Amino acid sequence: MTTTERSPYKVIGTRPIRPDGVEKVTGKAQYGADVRLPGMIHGRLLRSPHAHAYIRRIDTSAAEKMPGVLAVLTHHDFPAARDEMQELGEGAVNLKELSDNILASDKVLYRGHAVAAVAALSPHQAEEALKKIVVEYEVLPPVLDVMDAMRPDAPLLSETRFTREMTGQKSEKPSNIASHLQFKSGDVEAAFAEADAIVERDYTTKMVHQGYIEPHNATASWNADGTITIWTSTQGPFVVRAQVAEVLRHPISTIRVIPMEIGGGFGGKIPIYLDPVAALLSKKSGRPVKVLMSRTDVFEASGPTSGTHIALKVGVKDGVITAVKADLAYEAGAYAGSPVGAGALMMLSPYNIENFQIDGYDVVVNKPKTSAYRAPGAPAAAFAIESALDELAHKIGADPLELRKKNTAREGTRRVDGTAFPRIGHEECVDAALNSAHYRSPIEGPNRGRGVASGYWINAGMQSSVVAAVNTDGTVNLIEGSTDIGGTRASLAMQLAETLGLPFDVIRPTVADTDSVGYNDVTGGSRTTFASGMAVHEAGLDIQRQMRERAAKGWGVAADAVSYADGRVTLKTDSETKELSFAEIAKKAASTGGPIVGRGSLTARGAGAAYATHIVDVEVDPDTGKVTILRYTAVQDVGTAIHPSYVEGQIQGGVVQGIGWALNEEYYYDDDGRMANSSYLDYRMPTALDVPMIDAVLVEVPNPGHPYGVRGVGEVPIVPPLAAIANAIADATGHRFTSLPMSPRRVVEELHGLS
Amino acid sequence: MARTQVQSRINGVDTDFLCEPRQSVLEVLRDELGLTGSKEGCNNGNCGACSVLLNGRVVNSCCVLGVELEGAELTTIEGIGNPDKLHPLQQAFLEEAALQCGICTPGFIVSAKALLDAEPHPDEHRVRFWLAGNLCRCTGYDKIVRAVLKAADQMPEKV
Amino acid sequence: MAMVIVPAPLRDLCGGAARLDVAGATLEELLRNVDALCPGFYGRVIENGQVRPEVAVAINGEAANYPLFEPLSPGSEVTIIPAIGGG
Ligand code: FES
Ligand code: FES
Repeated sequence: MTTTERSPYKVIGTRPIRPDGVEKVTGKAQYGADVRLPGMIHGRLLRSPHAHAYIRRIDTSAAEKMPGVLAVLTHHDFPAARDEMQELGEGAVNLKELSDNILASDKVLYRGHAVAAVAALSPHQAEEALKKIVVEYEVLPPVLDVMDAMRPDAPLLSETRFTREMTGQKSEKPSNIASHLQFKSGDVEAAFAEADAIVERDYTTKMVHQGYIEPHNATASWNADGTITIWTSTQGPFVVRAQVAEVLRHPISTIRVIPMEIGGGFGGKIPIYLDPVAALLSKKSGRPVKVLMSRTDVFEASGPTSGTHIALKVGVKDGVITAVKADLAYEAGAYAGSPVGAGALMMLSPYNIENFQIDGYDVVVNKPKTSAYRAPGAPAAAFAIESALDELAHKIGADPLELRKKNTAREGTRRVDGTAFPRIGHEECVDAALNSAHYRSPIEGPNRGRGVASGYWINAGMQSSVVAAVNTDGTVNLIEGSTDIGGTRASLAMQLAETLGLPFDVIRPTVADTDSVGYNDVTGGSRTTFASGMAVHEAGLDIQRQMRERAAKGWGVAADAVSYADGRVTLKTDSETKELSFAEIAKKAASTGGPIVGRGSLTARGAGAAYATHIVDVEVDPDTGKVTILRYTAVQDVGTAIHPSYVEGQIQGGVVQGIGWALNEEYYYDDDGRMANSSYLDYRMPTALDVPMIDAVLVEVPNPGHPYGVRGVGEVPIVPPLAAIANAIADATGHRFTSLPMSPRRVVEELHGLS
Repeated sequence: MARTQVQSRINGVDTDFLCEPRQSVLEVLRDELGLTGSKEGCNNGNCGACSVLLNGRVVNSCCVLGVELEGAELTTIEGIGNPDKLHPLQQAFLEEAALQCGICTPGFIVSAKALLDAEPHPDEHRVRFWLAGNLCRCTGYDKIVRAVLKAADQMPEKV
Repeated sequence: MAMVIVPAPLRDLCGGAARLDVAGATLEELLRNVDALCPGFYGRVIENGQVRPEVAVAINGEAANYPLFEPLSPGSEVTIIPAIGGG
């Protein structure tokens, strides 16, 4: 469903078939694991069985003699890494930690941490050889929970980590708390003293995984001339190139990364895990080497998102939210760098709140190093605040959406960091939710309830670069560098078609390798359709300009005497009108100055934040604890929907990930730090049978920062579901759940007081 | 390890291959025969990305051994439709935008084909039930279910 | 004049002030002028000629990879936030 004015566009807003679609529905599209090269062999990694241990010795001699084995690798084969922070694509990384996370040097910090690798003629031979590698460990007690890790007597992951403050101060003693941050304004205590109603609770969420169906993969060839070619599934080929260059200390210009089709990422395919290993195995063996993760490897040793603990106190007076005090502790995993900063910054962004103090703690634990997962940091924070607001609404007898509307942030409202919002769409989302058929319908029947929640995500711009080459038959090859994870070839080609006034199907988009297109930041941060779209628009204008110049030359007039519109160049004088079509000018390129090539290269600004408000109806079976999602409506301010089907798809996909997070998904560890549910059977993601149709309501408030009004849409849909579902369950049962997941077991235990 | 010769019929073509007894059908397809349309998501029967039709029944090819293909008839995604004439399911997946990353798509199409072959006109619940063995992490299933229902509309009545 | 919103942890450097009106035609100039009022501020934000990796500068609410020569218009609001990554 779309609420929109009549569209001024011809291509934007339509729903063409994506250019890469036929290849994908016929099984022909080549994903990372599908790479097959002459002479290619197979690499596998040995992983730590312990969550926390010193590595005392690694003996690979027996493995080297195993049949079919051509190369064995340990951390000793890596060049020494510098212990310093560097900006390598998305966010700064510590180079030593980056290298250590790929193959551990002195210490393993989580179960599944890679310690050695083998390349052999077949995958099975490689696996056999791994069993012959002897690693002597000195096992240490692990620390697995964020609150345990913060205790002064907790086992330390690193003796040299001190808590860092923004002031540059460091804690006196080493700590698992890597950093502390704070947002503060007004007088919180005074506001609580005057409040009519207060809710104070602790909320917890467990570590969860992005769950992309395609495991990580990398194939590398260390070529005879010292160059390296890498085929991989990644959200950011240029990030892979930069990180491999750093880890291997190899010149960036000699590394070529070829992005294969990617089977999902959601933030988890930004970091590198296998690429340098494949490259060095290839160097040692003289063969191209393909390395794949198993599903268990993906769970245990890629980058899930943080488990969290949030202590929250919220006060209202006369229906106005007057005070918030929040302590957010997020698990970073084995190395520093949880998304607690984003959680703290975005938690209150749907609202206008005068007095608050938010403290955030980034905490290392003996679990895999977390990486981005769709709106990283925001869902857990929203779970806390949106649950508390729901409770407050009940306490003061207000409709939960009306409470949100009354307190909504608007243009000029200050975010917690003190900056004023530009035009934003939260209130529009709440209004659309209030007026939706869903919210106006009654919810009836025993054990049924309805919940609502809002969410915010900041959205990113960053760098994009594209080239558009005009062919003599009037078609255009669009060369872009953003890997296509969910239909962006289509959304970018559509924007170029719109800019040039051409039909969609004359634009042929290609995702190029790192040698063949300018630098592009990752497909992430909800940025591709926005930022690469801006670059595409710029390239289109560049082509328009060249076409005008050529036509004007032919007509013997100045270029500014002619205009470009609807795929043609027009000269209008008092006496006559001359016209040349795009295809006519394209055909004559050779004789009018050579190839016509447009380029767009920029750092995109003006991303504009995304807001969403969700409504969900549930039914809770009090005997089994099973929660059934009866109906789900997701309202979102999407700017301009370029291809509405894929915008709806982003929303539906994000919601269902949120449903999984709310109801079933969690990393379940035993006391020794072994993940007990590292398979899809036990890490229970939603199936088609677990969810209903997801009604996506697109509110289109064009983003003034983009030529076509595009706003990033991919991330915010996962922010509201956790709280919306908790609120619906509270409505259905009268019991407030503050810990995720609200799995059947937890629901039964809490409802019947068994826990 | 000794390799066994297996004679089977894959996508309508008589196919002989050699495989190790420990290799799964999925490994045979992908590593020995170059049929990489069937995907590996879990290698233990829980995601359906490797779905194929073995003698007309949908199975997870990661959970069947290559040697079990002796005398068998196998259909993979490569044997369903072609770029000139797509299967109605493939066409519906494109029109309904039922894929985002597309890694799950071959498995869904194979699995849904088995459903429509047996029951040309399932309702939404039946589609969801049948496809519960195929995981998709991108779409939230909404558009996949719609695509299957749309394709079902175009299926001939069973005689 | 641009407005600098002083992040809570740095307010001690600035005598407790949450906001400062400071002149500055570029980001560099502005931060230098803040540093004159709040000694040590510049070094908390900039290191080796770049914004420190763990923080980000936000101008009028938008965090981006700004160069030090980023021009500021009068009335711009500048603040420092933790670095944010997207999925
Ligand atoms: S790979 Fe066979 S079911 Fe997942
Ligand atoms: S489209 Fe990505 S897993 Fe289904």
